[in-house]
Amino acid sequence: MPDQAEVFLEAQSLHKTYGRGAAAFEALKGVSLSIKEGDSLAILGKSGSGKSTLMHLLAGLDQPTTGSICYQGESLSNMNEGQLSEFRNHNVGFIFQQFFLQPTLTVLENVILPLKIAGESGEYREKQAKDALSKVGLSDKVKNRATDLSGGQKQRVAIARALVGNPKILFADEPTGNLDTETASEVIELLQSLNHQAGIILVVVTHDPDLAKQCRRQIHIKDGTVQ
Amino acid sequence: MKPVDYITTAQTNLGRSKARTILTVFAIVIGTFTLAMTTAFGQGVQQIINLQLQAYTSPNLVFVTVASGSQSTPGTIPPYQPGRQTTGGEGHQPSMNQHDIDVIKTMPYVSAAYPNLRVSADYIQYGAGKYLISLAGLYPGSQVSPVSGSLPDQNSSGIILPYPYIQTFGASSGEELLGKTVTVHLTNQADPNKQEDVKMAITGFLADTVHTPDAFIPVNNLTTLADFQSNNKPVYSEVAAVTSQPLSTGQDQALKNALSAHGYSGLSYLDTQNNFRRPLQIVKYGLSGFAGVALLAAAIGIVNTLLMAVFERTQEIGLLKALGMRRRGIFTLFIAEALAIGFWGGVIGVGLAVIFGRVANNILVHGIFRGVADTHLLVFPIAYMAAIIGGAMLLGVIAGTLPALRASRLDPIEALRRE
Ligand SMILES: Nc1ncnc2c1ncn2[C@@H]1O[C@H](COP(=O)(O)OP(=O)(O)OP(=O)(O)O)[C@@H](O)[C@H]1O
Ligand SMILES: [Mg+2]
Repeated sequence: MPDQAEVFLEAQSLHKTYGRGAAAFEALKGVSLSIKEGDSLAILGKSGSGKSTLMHLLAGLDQPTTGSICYQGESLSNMNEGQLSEFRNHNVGFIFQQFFLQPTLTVLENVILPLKIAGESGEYREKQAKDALSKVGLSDKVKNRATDLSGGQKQRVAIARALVGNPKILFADEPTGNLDTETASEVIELLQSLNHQAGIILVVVTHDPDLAKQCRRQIHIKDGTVQ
Repeated sequence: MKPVDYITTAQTNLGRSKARTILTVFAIVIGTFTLAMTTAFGQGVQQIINLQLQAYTSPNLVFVTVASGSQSTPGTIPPYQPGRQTTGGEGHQPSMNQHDIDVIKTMPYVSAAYPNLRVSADYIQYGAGKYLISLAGLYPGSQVSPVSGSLPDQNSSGIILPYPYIQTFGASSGEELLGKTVTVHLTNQADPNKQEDVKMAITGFLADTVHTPDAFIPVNNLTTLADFQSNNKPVYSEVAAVTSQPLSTGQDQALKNALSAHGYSGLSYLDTQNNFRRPLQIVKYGLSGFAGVALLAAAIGIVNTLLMAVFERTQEIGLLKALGMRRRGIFTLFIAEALAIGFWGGVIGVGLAVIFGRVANNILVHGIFRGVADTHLLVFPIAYMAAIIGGAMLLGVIAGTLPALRASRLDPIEALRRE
């Protein structure tokens, strides 16, 4: 990645406090970071250090108690609920440790979901979803129920779902946490190729040293601060 | 999401816990079925009442009597008034005269007034057969409705006969007898040697009713017959006031107020209709009340079902939000489910009622209601049935609001964390 690439995401002194009064807990204590176009970033740290919290804030899923997050100069705190939802729908892809596939839907319908939410037409969204599934190598599983797949396949469906809206940035919270070493490395490979070939920015929360190593940058969180 | 996506997603989601959905819908079905049946029964009875009444009277007639008489104040004996006597058959109802008619003609909405006379002829003859007959006057603008043929013209010597005369005259349908001549035979009350035969042409037949009504002939012809029988001194206690059109409830009341200010009392078509309707209305209100309670219980069922759905699908709601669905979208999704429950409850309830009504109509019309209702006892007007379905959907929306709000307010992170 060229060093002169433009800054895509800029977070400044993020604080996040859960709860109030005596029960208040400060999960983030002033985290600043910036992510450039084409970047890939691994967020490492012990359990409870605040990795997921940071990722949720960066992705616009939750709001910081204080501090600011700007995407290409635009602050998330200036957006209302509707704009923020639309922002996530159009610009951000999510991959979770637990996959969160809908058991009642087919593989294709699961992948279509973000486009359905966006209000896209049936034909367009089916084509996009099939494209996304072919990128993750699951073209032959289109009609299957999501529950009938193996763990690695499920995570690939989740990646296809994250990709289907052509997001600029992909957030993954321990994407290999529920997978064995072999399937994990498949998934890691897939994520890396998306970053290298399609230029999608990757932000990965992980315990997996293999995955962390392959990212261009690593940051370590400890007790809510960057080490 | 597109509107169609909300509908299909709602349907799919309802299908996910079929037993629960079916029970919830069934609760609404009980309410909507009862409402549809009640409406159908009310409408059917209304039609029957109108059909029956129109064989006797017309919506543009108000029958006027002297207010002090036993008809309007039962249990009293009216004081003597010069010019008024009792009329034999009518108990203590004072008779009326030309002066009354002149006064009544000046009342609001009244365009004409006639003595309301009955003529008991000796017999009516068709071919060789002679049968009893009672004649009443057909007033101008009368809306008495025939089942076959038509009403006689005011200037003609026509007659419209009650339904049973068809069979009595040996015909299989009214049409066979249209235009045929009958003879009405009369005797003078004072002098039995004075007799008269009047020829009349059959113009039509009245609806088949529980009690056989009088035959109708144009009012002027009737007066002529009555004058012949009574040597120009017919005694009557009732005046038929003809209004230019059927009166609304307000107009009806205005006319009655004016009549009562002149010492008269009026019985309108609306009054007669209401007298028939009242007992049925009580049944209707009772059933509607039952339907209301059923629907209230059903609404609570919807709230319960959807709250359970929100609880079960918390994680899914969190995911939808993370993927960019707005609060409003989540709200709409659950409201769509509530609407679908209401819709199916309405459609199935009304559908069952219509099917049940078909069967019941067949049984009743050929059974205990034979001769009263010729085709339908239960009537299902489309507008009413659509209103019941719409009402069930509205009920769904109202009941769905609380669960839908709850779902829309879930925090995505919290929701995703839930196992
Ligand atoms: N909703 C909440 N209310 C209160 N405390 C919370 C809440 N969410 C997270 N925390 C606390 O904030 C801290 C950071 O949590 P976070 O989930 O970010 O950790 P993590 O680094 O992702 O851990 P793990 O590796 O186990 O996923 C933890 O101590 C957690 O208990
Ligand atoms: Mg975490």
